Amino acid sequence: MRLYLYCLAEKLLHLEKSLTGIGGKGVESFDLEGLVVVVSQVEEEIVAATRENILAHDRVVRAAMKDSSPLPFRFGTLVTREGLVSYLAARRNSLVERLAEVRNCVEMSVKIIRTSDPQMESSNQIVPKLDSAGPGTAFLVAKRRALLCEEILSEEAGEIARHLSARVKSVIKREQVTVQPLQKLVIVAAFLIQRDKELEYKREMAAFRQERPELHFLTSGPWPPYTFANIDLEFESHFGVS
Amino acid sequence: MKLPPENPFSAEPDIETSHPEEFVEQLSCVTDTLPSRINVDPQSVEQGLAKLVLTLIEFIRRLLEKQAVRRMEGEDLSPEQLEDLGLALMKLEAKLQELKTQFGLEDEDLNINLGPVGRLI
Repeated sequence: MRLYLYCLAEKLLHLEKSLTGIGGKGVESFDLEGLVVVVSQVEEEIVAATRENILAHDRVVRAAMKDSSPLPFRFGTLVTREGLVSYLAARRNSLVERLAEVRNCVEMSVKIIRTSDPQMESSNQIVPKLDSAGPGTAFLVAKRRALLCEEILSEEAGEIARHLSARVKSVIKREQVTVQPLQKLVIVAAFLIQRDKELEYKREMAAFRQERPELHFLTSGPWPPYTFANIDLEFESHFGVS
Repeated sequence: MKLPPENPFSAEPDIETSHPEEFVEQLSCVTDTLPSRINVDPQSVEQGLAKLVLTLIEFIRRLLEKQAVRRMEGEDLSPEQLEDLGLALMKLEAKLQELKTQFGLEDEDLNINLGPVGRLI
């Protein structure tokens, strides 16, 4: 018998009895080493990475989020009871600190797609084609143009990220902004905010969207603080792709 | 902008976009959120290793290209040296393309997700 781990919390949770987790299993929470763990007891050694199981994992973590700010485990974390006790005993202090860090907080997500692609034109102006050059030189000129495009894209992407961070700075606690200059999905950001700042955060995001009509946005939240939990490092995820 | 709530502390997330198809297309490309592993199946182990090795070669090849372009910009190469360097890099690119085809790999396969640091290439 193993324990499938959903999340850690600071206090005992009032989970509904009808709540089901991975594979339709019941969900329980109990105090262990002074921390509350939310688990299902499972027989399997690997959890299938199916849509149902992934949604079940999220459903349980979100249920825990109703009256706490849990630290979610990565999907597929299976451990023996002894392994869990030993993990919690060894890492208790840092987990308590991390729980304090996310207390009363939620995660908000922002994804941004860049719609314009003006950089090719400007790079062509800076690096003109050389009709008289040999194939080797022409190859390098083309590479130079491509590198210039990358630099322009990186600068544009960095400017979007800086603008976004500045806009929400006053209402967030922490941020993780990933800039992908060469991709259409140019910004993937997660912000940790206090629950009572949610409306304020949404107003700032609405203002940012108005300031940047050339960008396409996907905003979502509140989510459990998946991005800021980072408590899976000691455990391997045991899941399979079916 | 939809501002929710009578219940601002809801655990149910709002998801908002005016361009859902565009985001579905982009996010469906993100397949490397699951940890990639080398499959030890005898038939596919060769491809797994080739992917890893070719990714590293591609990384080095790009570094060489950048260095060559910097030297071109610095104008410290004669036209003949520039042509030779360009030809050599062109051949290297063609050879790598040939190897990718041989192992059934696409351009987007040649990358390594380094977690919080981002992608190698």
